[in-house]
Amino acid sequence: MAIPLRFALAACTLVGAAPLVAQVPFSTVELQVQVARNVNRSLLHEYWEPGAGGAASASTPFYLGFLEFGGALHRYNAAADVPGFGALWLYGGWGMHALVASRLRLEAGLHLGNYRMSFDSAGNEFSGAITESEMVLGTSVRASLRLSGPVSVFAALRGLSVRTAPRMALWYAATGISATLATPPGLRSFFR
Amino acid sequence: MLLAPPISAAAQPDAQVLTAEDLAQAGAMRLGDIFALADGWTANSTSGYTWDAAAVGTAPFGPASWKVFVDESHVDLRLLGGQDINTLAISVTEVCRVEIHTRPTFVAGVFAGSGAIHFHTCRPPPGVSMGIAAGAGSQTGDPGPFKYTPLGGPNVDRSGPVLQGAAAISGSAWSLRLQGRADEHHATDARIRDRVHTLYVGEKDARIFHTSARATLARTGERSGHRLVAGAARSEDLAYYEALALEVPANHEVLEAGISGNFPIRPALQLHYRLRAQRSELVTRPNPDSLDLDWRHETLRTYAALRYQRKRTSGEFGAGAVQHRAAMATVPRQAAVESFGTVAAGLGSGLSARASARLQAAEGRIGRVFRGAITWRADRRQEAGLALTALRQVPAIERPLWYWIAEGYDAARFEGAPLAPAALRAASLEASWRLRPGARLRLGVSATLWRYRNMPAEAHEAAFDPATTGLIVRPAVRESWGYLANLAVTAHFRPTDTFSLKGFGAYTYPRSRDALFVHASRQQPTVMASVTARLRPNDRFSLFARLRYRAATQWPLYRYAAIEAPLYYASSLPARAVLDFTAQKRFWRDHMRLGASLRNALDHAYLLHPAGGTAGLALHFYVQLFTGR
Repeated sequence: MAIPLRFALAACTLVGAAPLVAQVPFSTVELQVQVARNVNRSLLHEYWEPGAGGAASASTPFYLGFLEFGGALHRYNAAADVPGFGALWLYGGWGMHALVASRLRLEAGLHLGNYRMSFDSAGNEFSGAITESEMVLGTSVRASLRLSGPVSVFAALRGLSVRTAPRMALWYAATGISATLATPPGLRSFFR
Repeated sequence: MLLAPPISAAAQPDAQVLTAEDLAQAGAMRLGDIFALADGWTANSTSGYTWDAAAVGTAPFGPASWKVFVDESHVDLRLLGGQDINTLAISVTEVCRVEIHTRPTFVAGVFAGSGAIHFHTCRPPPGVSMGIAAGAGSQTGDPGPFKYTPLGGPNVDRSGPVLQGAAAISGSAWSLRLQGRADEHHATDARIRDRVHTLYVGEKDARIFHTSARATLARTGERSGHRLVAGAARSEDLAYYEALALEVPANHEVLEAGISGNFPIRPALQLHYRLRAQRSELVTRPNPDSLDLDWRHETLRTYAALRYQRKRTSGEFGAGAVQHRAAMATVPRQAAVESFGTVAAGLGSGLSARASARLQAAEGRIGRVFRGAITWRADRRQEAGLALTALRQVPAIERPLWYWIAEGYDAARFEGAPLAPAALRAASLEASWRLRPGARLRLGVSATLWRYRNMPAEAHEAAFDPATTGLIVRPAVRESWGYLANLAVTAHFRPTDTFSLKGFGAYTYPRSRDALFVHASRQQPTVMASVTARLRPNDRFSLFARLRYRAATQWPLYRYAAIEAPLYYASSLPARAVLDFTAQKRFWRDHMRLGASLRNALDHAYLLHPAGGTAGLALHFYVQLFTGR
């Protein structure tokens, strides 16, 4: 049920975002940092217990909606006779947003990326000597409240489907702070 | 003005044309990716890298009966019954245009009766330019952390990295271009892993590694042009040989050198010349089964022709020779002489006609091909055509695999194969109709009927070998005959300037009382269909989606193996629908392009080949960087 629910959530928000905010592509860059916590239980959690996670990302207006690029670190500690591992999630994505009040914005997005898992070797956590990589399809919804000037705080719910066999279904709740800046001319020229 | 060859894609509207932009927008990283974009072509692969492709509705025997051309030069990649287009020493980023022919055609005097793929490489931009491209892909389904649990299985296929680079310097009338490619593919599917492992000494994983380099020196004047080409390609290690129904660890090397060009004689008359040498060598690597497929084939091909072009007529008349030398003591150096002529003329009242003929003589036998076509253009919106092809093909000229076996090529498992060499006789009748009801809609219908007689056909059976999980094949060749009818429909719809849709459908009906012909025909799908959608809001960004449907196919060769080892073999490939999706964006003016593709986005796993692996959802990335353009 996890995947259909996730996509239904994103689809509802995308439809709700139909009254689009007027935008100039690549005119701004929103930098975000956040802390995240795995909130669901799945097959993975019979063997591993999730630890803390953090993420950083940047988004910019696109021709329609916005583009987002980011990375996140997730930690999974062994809960059975298996090695723990740290995961680096690198992704790119696209989404749409809508202003629902003067300071409140709702966003929904779809992501595509790679989940690189570095497994602990005996007595050496985060050694990274053994790694595995797999594709991730993801989606997210986010509510962002502008505090002052370019600064906002936000809460987000992210769903990840790491396409291993069996699949890793992960839900992450996150909260963080963001700042929206005018894109430097050189960077804007690069994006265009 | 340089005269174009009288038979080009423009002269054959049935040919599908893919531009460099089309290939980039569709996320093509390898030349073999073209088969996923070609309408009316089917392709099967055991590894996901080497493709046995064929234009449906053409000769069902021998997957390699179609031909490959690069800038009008025929490059013979055939090897033991297969033809791997990825062996070409060019990169997909160097291709400006690909013409994909599903109907009989002539290219620079060479007849391609079962379709052709013709690559046109790019002319470098003025000044100094460089380009590099990198791509990689991975099929989903790796075990990830579950490999430490009882739930995890083995890793699955990985494509790449594919690295391609080119550097060029170009003046007003000349250019020099150097290019290279390194490509890696890991075929680790559980269905082939055990079979492949028994062929390697030690615990080595199955892989394919390709390296190639090519240099092109060109001089282009107002009315003349000359091109000197030298290239080398090497594909290492794993390759599947359909004739053996088995992988063999071997290195395949192709060396090529050629010169071609045009001299002006009169404003409407030019002399075209072409000289090309190629050496294709297969060196078997050590393997526990001591299989030995060592093989070398050298070809020297010369051709000279007069080309003329007037307002309503054009033509080409040429002659040439081909010399073959194989690395077998029993086969002496052999030569064939050939002549070619084609004339096209406008007849008035919207009628135009073309007639082409080719004669070849080798070993005292004559091969001949004739093709005549007439087109009637009612107005700008409507066009109808009719074409007739008749051929008699002697084995010594086309040199299929069984010809070499008959001449003494005694590779393992071929020995003692009963052979019955014959001269293929075939004829086809084609009818086409194109309609443009509006500025945004184009429709096309074409029908082809082939009749094959004296067709050499492989009639082998394969038995399962439980020790190696491979197959033991006993090949035989005998004559076969039958009819193939093919109906194809295309529709192009462009509702807006930024969005386009293309639909394609084809139905093929084989008819014969010869069971061998019917069985071979069933390896090709009777129904194929595709829908291609392209959204391009500006010249910086595009979304591409292609949904392909292929009806089920039957593979009697593998029927006993499928019963004995269903985990490794199948005797049929079920119908499948595959959705590919690509997003690409240009950055930094035209200097950079990034793309991401989801292949088999519906994530419905399907078999690539009855003796091959399974294709699942795969993610591919590529980046291209250019300077000087």
